[in-house]
Amino acid sequence: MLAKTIKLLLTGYPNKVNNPQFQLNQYIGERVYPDIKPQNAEMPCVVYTIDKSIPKQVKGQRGIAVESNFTIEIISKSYGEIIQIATLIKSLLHRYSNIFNSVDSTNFGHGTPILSSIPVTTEYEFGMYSPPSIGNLQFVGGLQIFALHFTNMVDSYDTKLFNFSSSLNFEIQYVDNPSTWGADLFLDFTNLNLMASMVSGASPIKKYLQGAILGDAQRSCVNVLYSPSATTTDNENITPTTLNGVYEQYVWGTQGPGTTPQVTLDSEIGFNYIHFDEDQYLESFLYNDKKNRTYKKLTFFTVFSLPNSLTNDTKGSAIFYRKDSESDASGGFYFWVIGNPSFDAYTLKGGFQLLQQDDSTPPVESERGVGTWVITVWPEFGINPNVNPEKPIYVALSMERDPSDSTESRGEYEIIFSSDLDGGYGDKNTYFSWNDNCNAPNIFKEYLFNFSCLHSDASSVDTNGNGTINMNNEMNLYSLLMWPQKLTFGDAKYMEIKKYLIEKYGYIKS
Amino acid sequence: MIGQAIHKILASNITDVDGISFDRVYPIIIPQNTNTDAYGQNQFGYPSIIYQPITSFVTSKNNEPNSLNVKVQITIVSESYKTTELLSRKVRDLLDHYIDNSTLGLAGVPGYKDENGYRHNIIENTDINHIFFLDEDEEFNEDLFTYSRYMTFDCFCYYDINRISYDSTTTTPLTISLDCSTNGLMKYSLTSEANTQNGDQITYLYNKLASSKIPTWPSGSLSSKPYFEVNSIYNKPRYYDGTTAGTKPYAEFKQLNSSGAYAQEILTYVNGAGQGTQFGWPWGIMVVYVYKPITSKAHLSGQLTINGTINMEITHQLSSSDNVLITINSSGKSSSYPSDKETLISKPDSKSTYWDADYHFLCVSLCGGKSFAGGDKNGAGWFEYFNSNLNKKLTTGQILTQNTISGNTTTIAHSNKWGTIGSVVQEGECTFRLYECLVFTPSEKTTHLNDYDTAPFQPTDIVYSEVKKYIYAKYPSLNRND
Repeated sequence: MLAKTIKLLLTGYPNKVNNPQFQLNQYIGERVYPDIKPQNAEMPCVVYTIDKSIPKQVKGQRGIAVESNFTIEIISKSYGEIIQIATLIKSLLHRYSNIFNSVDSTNFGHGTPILSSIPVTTEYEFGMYSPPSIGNLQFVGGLQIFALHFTNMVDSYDTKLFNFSSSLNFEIQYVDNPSTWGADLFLDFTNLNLMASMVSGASPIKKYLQGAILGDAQRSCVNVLYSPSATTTDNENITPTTLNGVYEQYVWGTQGPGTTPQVTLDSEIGFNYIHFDEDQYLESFLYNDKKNRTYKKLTFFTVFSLPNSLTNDTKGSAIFYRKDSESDASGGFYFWVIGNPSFDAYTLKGGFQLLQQDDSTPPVESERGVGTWVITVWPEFGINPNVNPEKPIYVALSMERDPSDSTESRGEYEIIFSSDLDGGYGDKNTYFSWNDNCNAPNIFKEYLFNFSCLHSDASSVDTNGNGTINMNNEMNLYSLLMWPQKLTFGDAKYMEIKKYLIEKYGYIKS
Repeated sequence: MIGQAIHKILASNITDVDGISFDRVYPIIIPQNTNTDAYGQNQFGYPSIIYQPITSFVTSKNNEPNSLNVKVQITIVSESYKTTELLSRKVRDLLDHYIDNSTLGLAGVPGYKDENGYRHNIIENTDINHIFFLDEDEEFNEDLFTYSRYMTFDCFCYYDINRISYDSTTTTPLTISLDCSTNGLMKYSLTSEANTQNGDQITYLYNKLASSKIPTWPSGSLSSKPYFEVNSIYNKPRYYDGTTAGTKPYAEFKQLNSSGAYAQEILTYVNGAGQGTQFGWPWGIMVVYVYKPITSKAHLSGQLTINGTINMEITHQLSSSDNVLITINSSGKSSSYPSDKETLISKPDSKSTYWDADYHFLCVSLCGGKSFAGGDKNGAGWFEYFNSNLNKKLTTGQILTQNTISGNTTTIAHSNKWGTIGSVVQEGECTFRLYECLVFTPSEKTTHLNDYDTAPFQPTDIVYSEVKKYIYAKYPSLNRND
């Protein structure tokens, strides 16, 4: 990932009018190569080498950051040209600060140039739509850089190739977390600069104010939620590749601006979460391409809660799904609580939607609801008395279509209730398998999962397998991670991600 | 940068060795088959001086480093030990504790000591603070039968905006760098060694980049003197130390309402022939001012002569009702090209926020003339303005959408011009202080990946990013967030 970022830092977006690397482009174009200059490559050109990467170790878990040294070698027949290019590269990279922010009085900002305010597929390039870097972290090329500085520069001459060269050495430190490990999407709400609220007002006041502020009536509204890193690339479990390498954002745009808090940032005992009021959702900024981005194999991790769900009614909420007005089939994950006033008891259920298709030509897609857990909470009789969906719940769930039987899908899941850490639903490293069969003549789609919204405004949804459920009741989202593989629960990678997500809350068994 | 400076020092001062002319100073390696006519006998490039810099920043807690430390290894190669020894002594004498106290400066800008006591030895885009000799050793090359001496020098240079003048063939993109915040670059007389003192008149204000070579249309370049000067018929601006401790020195331009007499104070660009003039910017320009308006109207860019009409006009004015207006006319004098005048800022009753501040920053970036660069417009582009009382810290997106300069479609016979600070046009009491002026020109016409009506310097470019970093570091009160 660092290699791609270095290349992006040097080339930028050569076709964009406001490419910040324009002056550098004038010299080297896209002639930036890893480790070795190709034979007969036109000069001047640049070769970059990552000399060393060292994790910043912390106790008890994978290092939280990486410190790397890399070298940029400028090669040219002309010494004067090398000095010119070196001046630009030093100026650009030393204590790198991404000044590009496309926010103006009408649009929210990005840290990369876009040709127009309306995204079109032909515009997508690696690292596109990064969040504006208004804090200490620079979001570029999928990395979260907190330090990048020039060390030294040595000029030399290659007597065999008759080239002058200048080697510029740099040191970089960047965050190492699931967003760089391989997650296709990773949202957590620690960095408030990854959220923006919308403010009505005349120019030149920014319509979008980036940087949420906890407790502020206006600035705690979340109208834009940025992902800190780009989606994965070169992954056969995802199709199409349109959004590969692009940053995701979720916006409240289609619902119009307003000052009433609807999707808000809040905090409990120091842990931030996004609260979705009833019927409120954030949809992908790149909506059509996002809803078409489907997974063949997936493991998702999420921490959420359903506030005000222990009532005499049934309360259901999608953690991620589609909006009500969307007619295309969509994947999603949801949780619902059925109140039983007669017995002062509750039934907690979880489920998710997969994509299936029939045998017509062309096939017609539809949703297939798959149920997971059914948990009875009956405090009077001591049945799961501490299980409380109004407190954070950790869920991890994997899925794939059975390679040998397209009518079957399968996977695993784990659920931990933070309210029951010492009880049966604490962290026991207990994993459950699930499988499901389509009803003929349907088969599961090979790429059987997608989503386009965080939460949903859909109510009375016929899940086609789990009954009719509301997806729109209140929900608090603490974190969400999409891993584009079907992980084996309990293995090293699964445990690493799980630990990262919930150890900070104290939910994990030591 | 430092390499070019070292080359200049050595090549300018070592012109003969032991009575034989010498002109072989090379970066990194001796070229193959160098001219040896002066020596006649050998076919190789000896004696030669080769320099190799190793650059690093001096550690700084500031975001923007202000010092470079460059270790320069100098290798002297000769077939004669005596010649090697002679040359190395010359090199040591020249470079060790290097000071340029010559009246005209090695590269056109005389060295000076600033108000904090730091030395500045300016060679084109490099400002050298110190050079120290560290060590040397020598060896004999048995294959080539040559004697080599390796000398290491430790150089400390200022890391400032002048490095952005990196295209040495045309001194672009930064082509003019006027710094009024130090008296070392101002002279009353060219032959005077003394720095200008508080209240003294300024006849000459040096361009820190020395002579500029500005590309001209359709080809070639225009060379200049290394200074701006005041035409003898006009009054001279004056240098002043900072008004309070912590404020920077400045040049003050006054225009008194003295009827019947020219009382204007201006400084103007001087061409290679020594004539005060203006230069054309057919392919576009970006001009940056750090200034403070004092009375009525600041003519940041104005006319050179009383009948002059062709210089770009940039003014910052205050009306009697405290309305503030910043305007530009890229075609020239507004009375001559009235429809081409554009208002950049118009703020009613805004004296405290748009006039009173100690430091004002204005950047104007324009495309070239349609007859020269192409496109449909002259002088379209963008601007950014803020001051030490008010800085909205606009994003690049806001600058591009809110701060546009429309330009015009006038067919003008001349290339758009710039070259005079202040103006001879009498408009009552006009006084302003100038701290800094930077002028950028492209080395050739460019569409900037869009079209020829796009300014060649965009707020998203590395060049502008470096300008902002430099300005914020030098004038911290401008770096506020409102």
